[in-house]
Amino acid sequence: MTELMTYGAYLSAGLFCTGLLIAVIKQNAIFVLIGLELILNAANLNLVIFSTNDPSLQGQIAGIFIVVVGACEAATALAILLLVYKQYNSSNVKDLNRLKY
Amino acid sequence: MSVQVIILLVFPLLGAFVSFFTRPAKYSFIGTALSMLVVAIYTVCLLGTDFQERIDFEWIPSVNVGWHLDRLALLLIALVATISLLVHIFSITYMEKDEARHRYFAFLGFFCFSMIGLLVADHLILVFVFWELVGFSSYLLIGFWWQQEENAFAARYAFITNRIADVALFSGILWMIQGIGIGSLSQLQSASELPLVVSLLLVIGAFGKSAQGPFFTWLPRAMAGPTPVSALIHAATMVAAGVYLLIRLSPVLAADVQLIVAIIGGLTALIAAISALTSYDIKGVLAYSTISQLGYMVMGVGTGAPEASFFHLWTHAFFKAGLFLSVGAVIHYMHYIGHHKLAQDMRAMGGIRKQLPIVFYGYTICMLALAGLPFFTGFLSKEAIILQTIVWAQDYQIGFLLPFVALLTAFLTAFYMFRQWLYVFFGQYRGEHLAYHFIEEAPLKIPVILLAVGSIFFWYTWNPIGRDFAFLGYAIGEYPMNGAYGWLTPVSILLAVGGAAFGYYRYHGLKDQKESVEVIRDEFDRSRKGILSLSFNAFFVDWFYTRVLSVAFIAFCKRLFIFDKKWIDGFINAVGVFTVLVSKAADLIDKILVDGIVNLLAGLQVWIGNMIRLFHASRVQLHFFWAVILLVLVVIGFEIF
Amino acid sequence: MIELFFFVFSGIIVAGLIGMIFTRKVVYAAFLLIVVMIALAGIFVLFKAEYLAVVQLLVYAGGIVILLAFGLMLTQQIKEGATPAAHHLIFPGLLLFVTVAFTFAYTIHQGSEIPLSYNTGSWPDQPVKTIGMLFMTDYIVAFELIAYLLLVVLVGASYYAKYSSKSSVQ
Repeated sequence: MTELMTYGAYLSAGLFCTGLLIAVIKQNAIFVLIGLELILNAANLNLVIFSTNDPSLQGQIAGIFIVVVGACEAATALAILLLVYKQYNSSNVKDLNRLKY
Repeated sequence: MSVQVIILLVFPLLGAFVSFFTRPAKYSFIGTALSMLVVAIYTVCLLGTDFQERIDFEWIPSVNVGWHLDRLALLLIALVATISLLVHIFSITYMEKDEARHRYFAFLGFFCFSMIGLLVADHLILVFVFWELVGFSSYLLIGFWWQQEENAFAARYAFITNRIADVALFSGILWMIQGIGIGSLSQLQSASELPLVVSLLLVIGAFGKSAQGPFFTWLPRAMAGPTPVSALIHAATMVAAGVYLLIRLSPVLAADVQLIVAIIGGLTALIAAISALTSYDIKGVLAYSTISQLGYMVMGVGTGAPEASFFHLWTHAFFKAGLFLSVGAVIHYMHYIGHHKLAQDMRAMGGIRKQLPIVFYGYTICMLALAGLPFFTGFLSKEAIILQTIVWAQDYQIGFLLPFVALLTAFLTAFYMFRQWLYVFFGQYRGEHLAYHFIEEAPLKIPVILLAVGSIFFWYTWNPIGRDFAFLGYAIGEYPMNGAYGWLTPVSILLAVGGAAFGYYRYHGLKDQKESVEVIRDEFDRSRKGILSLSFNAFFVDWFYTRVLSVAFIAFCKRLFIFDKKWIDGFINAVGVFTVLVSKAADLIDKILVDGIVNLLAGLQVWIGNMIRLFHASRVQLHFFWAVILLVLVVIGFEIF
Repeated sequence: MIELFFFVFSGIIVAGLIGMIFTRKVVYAAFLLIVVMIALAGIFVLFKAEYLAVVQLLVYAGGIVILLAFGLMLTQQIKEGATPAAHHLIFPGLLLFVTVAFTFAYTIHQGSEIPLSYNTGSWPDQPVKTIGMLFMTDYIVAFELIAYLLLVVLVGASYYAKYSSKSSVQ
């Protein structure tokens, strides 16, 4: 079981790194949101893995909070995305350069 | 300024302004005529009280200018005002058809103001100012009918001729003020003799205004103005200004210059008289006769009798103004009957005494006065001058030539005046009658009659051929009437009568002629050939000025223009091109070197800025990238340390 | 048995992640995200977090991914021949990926040597009940706050999405 937890930690790290990679290299704003969700889930997975040995279940409660915060983040970000789309007629992050210079 | 001077100066100017703004123009004569009446009466009153005054006031620090009112000035003001008043009255009828009468009368009033100012000015600068104003108003009035180019040309001609003389006058005045220290006319009485050059310069100025010597050509051309103007300005008053200046200067003129003045005066008198012999222009004859009479006056000053000159100036003003006004009436008649083309040509006239009887009598009296016949004023004053030339001639080797010239001129004067008299008033009318029933209106008659009456001897003496003066003679001045040379009186009478008789003999045949205009033209062409052409063209002086001198001058100016354009402009352009080239080189250095360094520095800044900008501003996701990188660095830092 | 399931789920997750990295179409990514989320829920079950697994299924697979799909539909322009959004910043992304992955791998490798200290005590019989008790007792403040957060976010998001086009955007 301990080895399984180590593998879980590696999986969590992989999720996190993939989320980062997606958030940085993708041009579409929705991809970026997907990357962020992956990062949140990586954290969640970590909490779940290491609360296996905690009968007080505090890790799982933190996980539930993270899920809620992730939902909030997704809702807010999509609203902002709609606004941006109306403003720029594009959902490409490259075009969000009006504050450039 | 005293009240007297202010009254004398302000009234004419005020009258001119009032005239200019009077509407309808029909009544515009009232302003100036009234002001002239006031001035005339006021001056006569001042003469009666034996008034004399001299005012100095500081113009600019250490320069005093002044006015003076002495006997000479007051007499001339009275003359100007009186004749001007009569001319105004005459102009009422003469100018009745002109639309711009208000302008005409305003100019006349302005002329009177300038002339009176000239006479009351004491300081030479003031004299010069009013001298120029007089010339300017003369210019305005000669060119009054400027719509015709020849009139405008005549005005310019007269003006420029006067300017040439005025340059000399102004130089002389400046020399007087700065070099000699005499600023006022009244100082001249007590001054010593002037240097030769100064005298010459001043005398040349006077010659210009009085149409003497080389300057005489402008006066016949000035006849382009309205005839009353010719009567007032170019016969009676303004041209006398030069004589007035000579009279003022006569105590201090250099002896050599006096000789020159006498010779020029005599020559001008003779040349003008000869020129008058063949002129067919009714006003041209009178213009040349004016020059001739002014020559007499100048001769009088040159021979040392300014009083005689002044006397002649005075009498001449009356009869010459009378003659001009009579001639004006004739011209008015010619225009009235519709003969506009040859309105001033004597050959087209004839028999006019029947149409204008009163004017005819006035003309006759004035003409007899000018011809120098006894019982008239011209005889008295002319004899005074001739007498003085005889006295003067004693001092010179061939001095007898001058009285000879004077007597010859007197003979010619009688001749050409009778010629004109016969041409205009006798015989049959030679032109075409287009309308009849001409009525001599009162404004035409009255001035002529008054001036004719003023030309009769009894105003000055009881003895029509004597040299003892009473009445106005005393008022005008006493001059030494030498009792000697009693033979002069019969000789001059004989010459005048001889001239008159010769004229009658030569021209009485006109009585029965009735020539067509073509015949007149033929005779006109004949007189342009041979020896008579000298007389007809006034010895070609005017021709020389307009056809040779001015043409040569214009050609010279054109050469100068070409020189200017080719060489001076070329040099300036070369300098300009050189400057441009140098500037371009400097510009290149500036652009490449200086701007290069500056742009290099600026570009460096921009490059560094762009480099730095790349870290944070170009992509949204780079923020994220850097944040995570920093976090990783922090974590690694914690691990290591 | 548990190991087998773990590796199966891990394989599904890794495959989904690789697919998400290389795909250019957002729709594919969204569906791959569902797959990854379901696999994750499976892993949660393996690690005794059944309640969280259900929440994960409900919220992510059922809610957020649908939300993403809606956002996708509202923002994507469908043009003829339009190429989908490409990748950019590949070098910084890879640098980041390698750095962070190396850091995590190093840390986990170091941490796996350390023996874990186990919390004594028995695993609750009814974990869902325990979680509910904990929410209503120890975590009541956080629970209320997260509820408020959720409320505010939903109201704000709907407000922005509805009215902003008239008020702030021309």
